Amino acid sequence: MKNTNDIERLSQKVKRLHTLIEVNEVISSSLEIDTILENVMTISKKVMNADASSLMRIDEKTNELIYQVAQGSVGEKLKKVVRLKMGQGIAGTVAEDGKPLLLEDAYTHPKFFRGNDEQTGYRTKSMITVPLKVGNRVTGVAQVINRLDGKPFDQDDLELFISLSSMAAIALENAKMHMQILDKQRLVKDMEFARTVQESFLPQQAPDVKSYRFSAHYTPALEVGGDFYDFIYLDQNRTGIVIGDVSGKGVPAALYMAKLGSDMRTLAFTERVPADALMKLNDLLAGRSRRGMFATLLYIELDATTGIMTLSNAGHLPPIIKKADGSLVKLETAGGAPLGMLPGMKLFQEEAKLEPGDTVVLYTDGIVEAMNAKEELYGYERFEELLKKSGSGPGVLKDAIIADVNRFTGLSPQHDDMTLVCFGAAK
Amino acid sequence: MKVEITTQKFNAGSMLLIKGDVDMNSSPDVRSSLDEVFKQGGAKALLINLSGVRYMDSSGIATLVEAMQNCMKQGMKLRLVELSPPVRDVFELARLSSIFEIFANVGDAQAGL
Repeated sequence: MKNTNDIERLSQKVKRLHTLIEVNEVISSSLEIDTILENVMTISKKVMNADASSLMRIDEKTNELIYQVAQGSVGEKLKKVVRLKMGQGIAGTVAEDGKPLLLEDAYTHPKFFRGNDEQTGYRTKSMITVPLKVGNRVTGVAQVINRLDGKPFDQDDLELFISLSSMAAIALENAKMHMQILDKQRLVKDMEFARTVQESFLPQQAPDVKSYRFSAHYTPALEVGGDFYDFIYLDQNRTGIVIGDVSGKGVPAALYMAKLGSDMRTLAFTERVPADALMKLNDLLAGRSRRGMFATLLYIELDATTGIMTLSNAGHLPPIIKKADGSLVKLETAGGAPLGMLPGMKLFQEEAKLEPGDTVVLYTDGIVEAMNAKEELYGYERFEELLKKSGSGPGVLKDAIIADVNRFTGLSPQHDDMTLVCFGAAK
Repeated sequence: MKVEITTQKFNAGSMLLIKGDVDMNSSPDVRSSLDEVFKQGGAKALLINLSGVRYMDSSGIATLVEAMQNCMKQGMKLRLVELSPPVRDVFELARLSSIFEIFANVGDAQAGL
């Protein structure tokens, strides 16, 4: 026959099991961190028959413990006053050691800090302090203070509180991860928005120049990129054509590109010739250089009346002309190093005549370095082969190049932005 | 591919020996090794040995540009040494040889310092 004591303990165990189930329900009912923890600690206080309960979280920035929840007669006061360093007081010690601590009388422990009691007028007697752990990492500390029946907490209380606290630790971690996901989603939305803003910097339509055709394509590798192109209406006869590639990727490259693009536009109007515009632009960029960022840039001024192009190339890939007879000419001369590296750099320019039926192809390295699933590069050979065999005319050529690159890469995500500008004189 | 960087001292300064790809992921490591050299200061020259680098993207070049700008501020010479053929191609295409001092081997790079 079982004695009364056994039955009492058994019924207490059942009650505690119920509590654990209840806590579990509370945890899975919300992702609001404050709500869950407040609820968990309310239940803990009730079940543990405690006068006060609290939960402290480790602030990852300062590595200090801060109150997340403090309940009981001194709860609100505690929340205001206390921030604990690692190893400081009972909670700091438990956070540092990662081991639970049951004290029948807190005042007997050398680490107990009586200052809080003195400030709040409370008398801490028995207490259980348990680390909140995720794996081996301590994320905080939970505490119950003073049993309401005046007895000290015992081993059964400790076991139950460890179970409750491990649930609180999971709740804390889940809510934190949920917050991170939300932050990430917000960032993704911001980047999508940034992309549309960046796309608005690109020409919204091809220039309308008598007997000339222009066609362009742009795909960023990340949400925003450092490639860009522009068409500038200089006057009735002259059109500026720009293609460039800013070092690096993502937000820094996109910001650099935005400023560079508008500076280029201004200089295209104020400077007499392309090389002067690029030299001025270089000095501007070099003067505000950060982390060695730079840009390759090719600027062409096209005179529609004569078909003469004046080109200045700052480290950009050489333009290719597909001549009316189908042959290819690479314009590898005149220019200099990329912009923004060295102030005072000299840049040169050259002229080339565009005959009716010729098409000029400007591109960034994202085209020639496009990669397929086997990590093979698209490469110059394939590029030039395609240019030779494709039909002429800016629109036709651009579509053929993009289709061929896409066929080559398949579904492989690309590491670099791809920009292509084709223009030429109609036959 | 992870990048390995070792810094060696010689009488006129330091030489960074880089092995691996220098791209967007690894250039911060190169940058922090360079920062160490600049923090020490007082040297006449910085050599960057690129014989073990097969691939360098624009982030990698930007790291070298920043090193060059820092060298100019500190009155140091920056010399790039032993560019592998693929990296040399990148430098030629972007006309970077007008910006950087490039040497075929360590002996040549150390001469006259």
